Amino acid sequence: MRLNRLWLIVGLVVAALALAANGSSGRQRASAGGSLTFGAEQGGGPDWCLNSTMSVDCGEFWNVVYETPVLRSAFVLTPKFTYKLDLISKYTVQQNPQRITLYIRKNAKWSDGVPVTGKDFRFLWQTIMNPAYKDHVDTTGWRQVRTVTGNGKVVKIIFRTPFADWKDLLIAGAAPVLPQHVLQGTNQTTVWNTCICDPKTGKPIGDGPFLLTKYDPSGGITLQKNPAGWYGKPAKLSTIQFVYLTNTNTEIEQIRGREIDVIYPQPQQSLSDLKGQSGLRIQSSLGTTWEHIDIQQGPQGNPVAKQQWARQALTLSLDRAATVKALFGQLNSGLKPLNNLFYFPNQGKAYVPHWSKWSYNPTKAESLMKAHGCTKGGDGYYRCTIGGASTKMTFSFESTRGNRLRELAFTFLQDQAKKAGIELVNNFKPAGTVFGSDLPNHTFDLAMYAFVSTADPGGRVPTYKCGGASNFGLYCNPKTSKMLLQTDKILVPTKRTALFEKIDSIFSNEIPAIPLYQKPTFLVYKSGIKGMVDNPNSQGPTWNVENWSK
Amino acid sequence: MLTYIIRRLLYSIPVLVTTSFLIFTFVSVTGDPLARLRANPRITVAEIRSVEHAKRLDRPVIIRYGFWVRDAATKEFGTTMFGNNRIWPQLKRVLGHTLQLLVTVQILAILIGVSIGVLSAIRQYSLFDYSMTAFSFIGFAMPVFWLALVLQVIFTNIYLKWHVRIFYTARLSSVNPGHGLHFLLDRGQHLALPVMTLVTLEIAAYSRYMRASMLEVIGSDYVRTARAKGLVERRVILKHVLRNALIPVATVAALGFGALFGGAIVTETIFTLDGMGYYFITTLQSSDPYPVMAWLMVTATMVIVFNLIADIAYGFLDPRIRLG
Repeated sequence: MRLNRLWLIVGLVVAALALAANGSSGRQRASAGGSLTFGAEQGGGPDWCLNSTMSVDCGEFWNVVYETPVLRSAFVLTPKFTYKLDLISKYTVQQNPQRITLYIRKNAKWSDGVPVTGKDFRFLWQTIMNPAYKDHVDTTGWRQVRTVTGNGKVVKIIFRTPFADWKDLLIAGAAPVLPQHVLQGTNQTTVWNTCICDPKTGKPIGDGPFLLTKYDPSGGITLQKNPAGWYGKPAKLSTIQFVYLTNTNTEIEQIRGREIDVIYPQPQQSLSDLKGQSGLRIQSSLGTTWEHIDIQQGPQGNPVAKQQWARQALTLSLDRAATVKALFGQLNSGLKPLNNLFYFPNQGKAYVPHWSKWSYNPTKAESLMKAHGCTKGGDGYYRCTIGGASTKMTFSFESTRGNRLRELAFTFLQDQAKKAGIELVNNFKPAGTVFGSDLPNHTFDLAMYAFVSTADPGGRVPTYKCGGASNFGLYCNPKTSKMLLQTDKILVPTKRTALFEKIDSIFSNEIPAIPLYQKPTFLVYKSGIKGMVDNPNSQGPTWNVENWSK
Repeated sequence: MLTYIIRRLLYSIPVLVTTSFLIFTFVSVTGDPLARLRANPRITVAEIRSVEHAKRLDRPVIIRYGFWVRDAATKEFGTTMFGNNRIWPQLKRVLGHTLQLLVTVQILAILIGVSIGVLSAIRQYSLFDYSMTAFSFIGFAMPVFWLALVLQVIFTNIYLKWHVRIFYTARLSSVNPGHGLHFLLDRGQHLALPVMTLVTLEIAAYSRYMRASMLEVIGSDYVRTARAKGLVERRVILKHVLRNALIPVATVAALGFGALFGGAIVTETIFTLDGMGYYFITTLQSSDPYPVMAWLMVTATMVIVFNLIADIAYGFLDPRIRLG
């Protein structure tokens, strides 16, 4: 009797599993054809909001990924780091004062039929400069705009003082044009917290190939094809569903098990499990997040770091190529150290590898130190006399605790530097302490962290000019500082690039910081999906979403 | 009994206040909600100071704690520091999801764990007893995160080999989960692996508690008397032994339920379940103390309430106990 009951229970369990398996197969069939599921590493958290214009509150990378298909602007940043015309068909630039004239496409319109006009561009500027939102918006660049005018399809932006990086103010998804006719008079900090819609009707609104039709803080974000069309070619997919997967290991299992179609994970060693998997494709590119080491030249750092030869010796003692290969060789064999503080290899001729002269050479590092009177101690590390006092070539090395890649990188760098007689001491701290206290207070010797840059090098000006807001290493060269301030005023791209290269050439000798590598990006997707092209800069992978198909 | 309950609730208030102040201070001092802003080289020091002032980050911790208490009491825990999202609706949502997981885990763990404990006690030193003891130790020793990851890999490999999706490896639901039975099936398939992960440890614990409790009661004089009176063994076990042996297990279950509310952090993070544990991790990463505090108050309240339930249940189950 008991055995019968046991078999009955086993039979019920098997039947339930079979039912579940059949049900799930059925659901999978129903979701195919025109619909794509994208695993997203950010979103839905308690602080999450959708209005990326409020960049302090809603300025995460994944905000741009979700919103690029929905809210457009003057430009889209391409994988080649060029600015492709988006809502505009052309533009002109005049100087003295800087005047930008944008010509909006005739067929650029919002999903409710209202054309995109100069009023929308003006409304964007007014919103950003509205004192009510001053604690919610990054006004960089916009505060130099005197006025934005234009009612029809021509927009004029006049700058008070020149701002060379003006294109970054008008990027799809990141700095999108806003629909003035639905948002006028609303509170921008709350109106688009849970939808991108007309607040009066609740209907989704956008001027791109998709509309954000559902925001589920627990599940994800749903984009559906814009039924009204947009200026570009119609989207091939009917739905894109972003689902939150904040754990990279889980992302990898989900794509391996085909539960989702695409992932865009942070670089991890475990991604190598996906290489060679049948049915999956991986695109990897060099991103605009670049790791570097800041050197403290202020009073609270090691006094020897103020000496240029010491910084050069330190750079020679670090094998950047071997470190990059060890960290990412399995994932991206083509990755090389970054050899320019302003441009990336992706930017073609603009990238001049001034720093390639600092390839790993511990012998040369030691010769340099000896030539300046340093002597090697019994512990294998050099001591140098600076201002009459003996100073050990020991640097406290700070970075963010809990970041495995950084901890691994430090292990390699410490070992390499030791061979040249330079000591690096682990001083990893919580990210809050590094960014909230030690960097702004300049209480470090060496600090390794990443900058998230744009294609335009103008963002580095505050980092390397004397007294710059993010000049945490307190490096100061009045000559290069003056040149950096000049770059913001030069509007001719070739002249500007030449000036940046001149500055970088000087920096490659003076070494205010040591560039390490660009973090690679990885776009992993099912091989049946067409049209996907990885975009490693801040625009993200949805830059050409209208071309995706299944 | 009522006096006892009121007294226990009153004792809880200073505990909650002290805990909330300590956690608020620790989170405020160690985290930096503006870290992302500071890493942006374009944002000026003046702008950061302005944001600090607007979010009251330039005030002393005790003043900020006061503002939080005011918002917690009058505005349902207020809003998040960035994004201005109301906290209480988010907490209600994640609480519901965690409840689904925990109720399932506890029901399964109690049913299976108690059964194993009873059988192990009845057949002490048998092969079954030794096997279940070994299983319990393995269950205790197994790290939760390891088991979660292994289960994900196993069921992914099953799909890759046989193209049969038995269970899903993450999230609460599919993109289009359907309605009614389809929705329930889909939810079940998504919760199966997290349930398996948590239930393993719980079964190990309950089976050991139950076994020990049964062995203690089985040797009692009144059980010997019951047998001597000629009662069938099955009746002796179910009516006399089991009911008394369940008393300590009932209190352990009540305590465990309360603790699990905030404790399934690792499981929810790995399976990306939108529950209390996952909510805690994401708010801690953003260094926003307000949702962290709200989470803490809900979790602490759950622990206090279930502790109280455990004590009251003990008083009801065992007539020898008088609460006062």
